[in-house]
Amino acid sequence: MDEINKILLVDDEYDIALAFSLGLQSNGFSVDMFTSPIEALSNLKVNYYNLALLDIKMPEMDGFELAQKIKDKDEKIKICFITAFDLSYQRVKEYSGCIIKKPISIDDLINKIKMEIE
Amino acid sequence: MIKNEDFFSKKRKEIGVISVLAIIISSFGLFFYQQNLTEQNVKNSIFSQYKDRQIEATQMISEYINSDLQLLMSILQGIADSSPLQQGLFSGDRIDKMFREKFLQVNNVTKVDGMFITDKDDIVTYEIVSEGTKSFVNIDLSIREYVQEVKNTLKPVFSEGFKGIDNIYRIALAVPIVNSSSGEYLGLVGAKIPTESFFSLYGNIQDINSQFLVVYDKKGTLLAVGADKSLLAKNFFGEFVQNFTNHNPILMNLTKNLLQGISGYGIYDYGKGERITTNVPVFIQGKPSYFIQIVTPTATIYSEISNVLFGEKLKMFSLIVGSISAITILIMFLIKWNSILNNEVKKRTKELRESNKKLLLSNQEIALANEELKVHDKMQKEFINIASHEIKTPVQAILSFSQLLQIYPERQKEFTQAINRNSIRLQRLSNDILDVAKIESGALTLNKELFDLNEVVSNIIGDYKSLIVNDKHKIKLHFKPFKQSLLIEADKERISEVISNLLNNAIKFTREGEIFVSIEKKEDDNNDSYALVTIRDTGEGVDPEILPKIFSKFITKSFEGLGLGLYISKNIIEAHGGKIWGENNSKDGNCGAIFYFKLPLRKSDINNKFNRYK
Repeated sequence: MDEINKILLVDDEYDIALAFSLGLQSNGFSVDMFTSPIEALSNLKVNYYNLALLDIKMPEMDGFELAQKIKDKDEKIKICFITAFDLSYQRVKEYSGCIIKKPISIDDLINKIKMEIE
Repeated sequence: MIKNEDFFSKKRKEIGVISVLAIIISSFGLFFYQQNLTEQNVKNSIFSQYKDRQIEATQMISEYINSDLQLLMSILQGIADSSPLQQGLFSGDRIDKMFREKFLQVNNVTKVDGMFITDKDDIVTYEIVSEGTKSFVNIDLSIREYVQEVKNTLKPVFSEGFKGIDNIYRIALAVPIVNSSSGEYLGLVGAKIPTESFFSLYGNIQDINSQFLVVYDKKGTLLAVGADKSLLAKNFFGEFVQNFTNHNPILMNLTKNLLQGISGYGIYDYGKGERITTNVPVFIQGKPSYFIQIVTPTATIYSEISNVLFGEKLKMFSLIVGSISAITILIMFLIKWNSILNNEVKKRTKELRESNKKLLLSNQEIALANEELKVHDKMQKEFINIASHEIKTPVQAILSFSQLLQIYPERQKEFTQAINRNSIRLQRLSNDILDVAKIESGALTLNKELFDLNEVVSNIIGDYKSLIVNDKHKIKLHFKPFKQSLLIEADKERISEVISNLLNNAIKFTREGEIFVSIEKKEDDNNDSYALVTIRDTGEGVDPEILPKIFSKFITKSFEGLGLGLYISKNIIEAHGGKIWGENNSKDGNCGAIFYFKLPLRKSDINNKFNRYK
């Protein structure tokens, strides 16, 4: 792995965002962490990140909306949602892409993200 | 619909009444028609019977007259054949004696007012008369036709009518006295019969208005007549009688036939009412000698017929009235029965309709309940979804930080605090979820005790004041208790939970500003007193869209809670028989929110033991 994988992390729960961020960093990822989707969008580095890890349930806008807005600016970026919602939750059920369920251990999270990037 | 039914029932009644009337009218019509036919038949039949009876009666009278005159003739014959007269003794004591005896005998049979003897020269030699009658001894009777007839025929003769010197109209019966050995005519024995008194023995000759008798002699002279006295001794064919009878052709014909010895009858009216007349001649020794007519004004017959018919009519009428009454009663009964049945059907239909309606209603209720159940089910699923999401979040934090502790041991304090924070959050969440589960399953129990609300609120405020001092928020907390102690019987912990919840919200949404808490005692419309707790802040207020449903589940959400706090508070207050509500201080919601709750006070509360807050 020559290149450092760069992750955009958005979760309105500060504790979660911090924990994931630290977990990813300890495994060699470079992480930009935001607790507000609006802040995340306004500070978005286009064509910079390998992957965006987005919470679904957030104030201001939900993860799906945020993902769309990021994709509008950065077509190549890969998106992974990470949510505490059950998979039976309708909108999660309808989405066919990468979804990571909370709670998840840091090791599992790293593995999933690696798989997604490769 | 119901109007229509009434209309038809009215119509039915009308039809019923009309048919009854029609039946009655047609029955009577038929009855009268039948009655008329029958009456005519009966009249004809009775009339015919009457006529036959009258003919019979006339024949009987004719026979009576015949027989009486025959008897009279045989008595006279006996006298003529007696030895004194045979010996030419035509007067004297012996003759007188015999005649007196015979005169009495004759008058027992019929009315004779004189008996006499004439000699061969027609001179009256002896005469016996009834009292008051003139005797005509020595009178020559040769001018009398009957005397000549007797003399010529030597046979008994019944004379035509003649008027005597005394003006009395009579007929005479004369028997020749013929010598039995020589056959020589010696004279005759005669009897004079006054026609009126004689014929009145056989019938009415007085009253024209009832059945009367008319008697003619061979020439048609009226010997006796009930029609009018003035007609007596007049000839029927004469001017007088014909004027009297208005030349009635039927009567004329009848009488002509009669005088020729032909029996018969006729019905006519010569201006004095319709009559029926029966003719029979009186045959004496095979020869028609007198002629009788019996005349009956038909009015008397018809009145008799009417009497008979009236009786019959009355019987028939009673029968019909009886039958009609019975039919009417039957029809009324049927109509009544029909109406009872109709009412029953209406009643049953109404019941059916109502029960259908009820069924429909209960179906609707079931559908509604089903709908509610679905909504409830959906809400329940939503609750589980959100609850599980909310639980997983602090779990995720705890899990991650406990792992990170090993990676970043130098940040132990920070991570431990995070773990602790999330553990507390998890604990609160689980408490809230348990509370909701209790509320929704109806298992929320209250541990009631008597306490002073002033004191409890005061303690909570005290705790919060000390918290706020350490907090980043710049908030001033004011408390205005009630002037006296306010004893309530309630679950102290639960009420404290409500107050804390409301205070937490107030602090959370105020950040900088003031919070006023007050307790008042009030009375409602029923004069029941209650405690009113008010928590007013100067924060951002409640979103007007959220305000109406602020006490529902998951409407608000914060880091500290799941948005269940107000829902639980509401249920706690209501479980105490109280009420909780909230409003914004002004319409745009910029001047903070006010939350109230009230709790009923014990009725015997007002004890003034605690006056600390005075």
